[in-house]
Amino acid sequence: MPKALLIFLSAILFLWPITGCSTLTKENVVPLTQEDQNPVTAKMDVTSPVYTFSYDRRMDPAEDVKMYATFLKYLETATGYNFELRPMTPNQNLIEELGTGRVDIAAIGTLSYLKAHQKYGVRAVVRGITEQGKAEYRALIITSTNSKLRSLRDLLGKTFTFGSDTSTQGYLIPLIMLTEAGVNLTDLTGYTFAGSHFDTANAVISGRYAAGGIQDTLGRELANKGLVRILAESDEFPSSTISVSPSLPSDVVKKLQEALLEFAPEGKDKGMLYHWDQTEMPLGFVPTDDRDFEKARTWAVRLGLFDGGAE
Amino acid sequence: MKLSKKISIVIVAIVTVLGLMTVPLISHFVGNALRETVQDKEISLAKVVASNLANPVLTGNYLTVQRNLEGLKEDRQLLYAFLILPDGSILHTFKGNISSELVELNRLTPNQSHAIKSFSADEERVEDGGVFLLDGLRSELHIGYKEDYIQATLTRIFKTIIALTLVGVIFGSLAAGFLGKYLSSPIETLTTLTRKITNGQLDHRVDITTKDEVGELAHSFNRMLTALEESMSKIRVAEEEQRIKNRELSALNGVAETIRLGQDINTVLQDALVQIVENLALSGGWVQLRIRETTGIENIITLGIEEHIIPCSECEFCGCDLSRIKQGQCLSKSSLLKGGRNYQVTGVPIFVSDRILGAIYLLSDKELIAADLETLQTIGGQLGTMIENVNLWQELKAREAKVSQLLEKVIVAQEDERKRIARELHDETSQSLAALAMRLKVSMGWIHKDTRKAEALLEESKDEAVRIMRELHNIVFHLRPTLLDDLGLVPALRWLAASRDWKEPLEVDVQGNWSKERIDPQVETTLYRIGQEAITNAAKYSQATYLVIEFKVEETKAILKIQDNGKGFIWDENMFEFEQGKKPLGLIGMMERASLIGGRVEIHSEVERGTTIVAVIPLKKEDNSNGEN
Repeated sequence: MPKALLIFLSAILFLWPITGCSTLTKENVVPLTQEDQNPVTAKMDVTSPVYTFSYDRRMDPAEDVKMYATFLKYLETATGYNFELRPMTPNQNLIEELGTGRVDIAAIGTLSYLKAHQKYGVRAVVRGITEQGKAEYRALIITSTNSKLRSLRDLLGKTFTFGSDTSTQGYLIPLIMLTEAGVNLTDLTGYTFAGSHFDTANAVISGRYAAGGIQDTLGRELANKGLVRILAESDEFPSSTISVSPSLPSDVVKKLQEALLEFAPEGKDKGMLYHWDQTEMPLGFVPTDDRDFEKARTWAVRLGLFDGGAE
Repeated sequence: MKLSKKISIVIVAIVTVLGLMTVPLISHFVGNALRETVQDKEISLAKVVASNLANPVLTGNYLTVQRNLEGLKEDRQLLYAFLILPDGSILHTFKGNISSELVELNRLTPNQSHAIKSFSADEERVEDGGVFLLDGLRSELHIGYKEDYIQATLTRIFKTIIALTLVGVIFGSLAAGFLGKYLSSPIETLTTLTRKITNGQLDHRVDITTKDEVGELAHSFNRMLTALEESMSKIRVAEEEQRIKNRELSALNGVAETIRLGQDINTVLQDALVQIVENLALSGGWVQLRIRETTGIENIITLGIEEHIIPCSECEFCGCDLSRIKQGQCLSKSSLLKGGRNYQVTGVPIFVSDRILGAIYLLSDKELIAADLETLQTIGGQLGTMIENVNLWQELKAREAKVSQLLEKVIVAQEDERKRIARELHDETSQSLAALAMRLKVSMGWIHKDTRKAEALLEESKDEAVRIMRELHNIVFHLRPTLLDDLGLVPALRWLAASRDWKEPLEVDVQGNWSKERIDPQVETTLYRIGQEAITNAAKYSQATYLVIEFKVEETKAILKIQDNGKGFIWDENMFEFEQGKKPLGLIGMMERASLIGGRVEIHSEVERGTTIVAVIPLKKEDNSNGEN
């Protein structure tokens, strides 16, 4: 018994400093800075094939990332391919990126598609189904709730804000609406491109601009909340597309199209998505081809947004 | 080693070991807890910052991003922050250029939500935490926290625990010493008491009154001692009782072994007295036997005392009966001076059934205990039974002798009867028949010569033949008179007395109420034979001339009385035993015949005053109503 006790005590005394002070040892010494003044760049994984995905900015930048990040997870699951979300920086042009193949797939509106198709031969694979259950959408011209504007004609001599200059609902369709109402841009006191539908809404609500062109879904939501008043509603135009770079292999395109057509954001895939109902394709997709965009192309050419030349 | 020292050593060892074990354990757990807290804080901060930086990054406001990152350094524990943009370029908080090793140290993989890595930099521990700017975006935010304050905290805890352990050891040692003393003190007390108990000192008790387990143990110990003392006392009492019982059994057994039926009473009593005195450790004693049914006594046996110093007394317990004896009321206690010493004298009766046969007196130095008195009473009954058995044995032997003598007489009587019949047939009947034959022969000679003489001779021959027939009839009658069967007892006896050819003819007088009575033939035959013997004695030996036959039948008995006026004799009940060789077998035969059917024969005789024989035979109920005489 005494021997066993002595052995036990010795073991405790021997192990005690080891266990108690193990965190005090120095290891993994890493310098925080370096003398070399050349910019340091982080290494990016380029070993596995990745298809890049980008989008027309629509909402809050972070919200857009969160929505499309979950959408890409669906595509990865459905196709077995790896996708990388690549938001466009201010110095990047999505049409060019998509047309030149640095971006393989993009969620873009009609206007961007028309331009990309006309210039680079970008193909629209599917169109989004809106919350009205159609593959077309509309644009709204909104004004503040305390505005005295009652028609588009009242905009003469007033200020106006569009979303992005590449946006269909934020620029093309509102411009068509103004033109049809006989209001030219030159009749306005001034106009601007706020950048996104969110920015347009903020600009109108805050009164910085008398009216603005905006996505119909968001415009109605804001109107229902009493934040804005709808001044006019457009005709239907083809909704946003998922378009692919002309360099994307056809088998990948085919598989991608199948996956997109099977996409059920209100069904089996709803759980993995983030606020997908706030996109322009909340109920999924339908197949599409270039013929669906003739009307819009005609207007865009008429308005001088692009030359409408052959591919 | 004493228990108190053992307890002290064990407690000090436990406190020390637990203290030493506590230090690394607490260091480990507290360190981990602090590190986890810092990590959680770091990751939370990184996620908040990443959320705030997402829009500026996505909209290209990198200056805003840079300002936000540098604002983080207001936290003194934060060492750095850097952001990896989607295109791989770096925004950071260092004044110089960030090292590529640091950038690549803790990179995230797409499936990670965050990454933590601890490393050393500039002689301090740093923990790098990295998160994605947004999920799905290849942009990482990393912040580095100083870890040194965690180590400082652990060192303070370590020192505190060591100090507390030392204090615990010191106070534990003092407490252990006190506890050991406190616990071992009552145990030492109990140990001392146990030694005393081992030496047989059961009257000691433990004086511990604490209300704890030790107090309960002491209380139980005292209860055990009390129970043990009571048990020992009971054992001693039982042993004493056993010793007394053994002594009693030895005495009873010794007395029982002295009984020999073949020996005379004095020898048996002498041996029994020796056994009693030896087994009960007495000084001596004596036995007095009662003289038959009187109150007189005779000192017949003594042991350890001379007969002349035994005080004279009458039968002291003759007034006792069995119930009083059983209640212990028939005892005497007195004192006796012998050889200059005073002895206690205890007397108990010798009895059998309800009869007192005598007494036994025993000398002792001191008064006998109750158990000895009970033993003596039992021995008194045992001796009474023994005396009774010896008397019965002797009586049985005497009876056997009588039966033997009677059998001899029966044989002799049978031979006498045969002789008498032979003699009478030879001397009388045979002679008469020869004379008759001669007379008939002479008559045949004269029948042709002188008819008248022949007729006279034939007439004489006929008379002779008649006389011979009467003689033969007498002989047969004496064997068993037909009168007894035809007319009954009294006519047969009267005929016997009157018709027998005695030397002197008897005058017979018959009395009683017999005329209409017929009793059991066996009783009748027995009484006839008794009467026949009495009448024969009277006629043959007593020279009587007058005889009275009296026969009475009462409800339960038949009485036959034969009284003569002969010369009589000296009658003594013991004459059967004393007069060896001259036994009155006729009288014995009468008595035996009567006793065989439950009756008795009384004999009264005086010289020159005749003899009276009275036979009394009990009757069964139907005996006196079976018919008429």
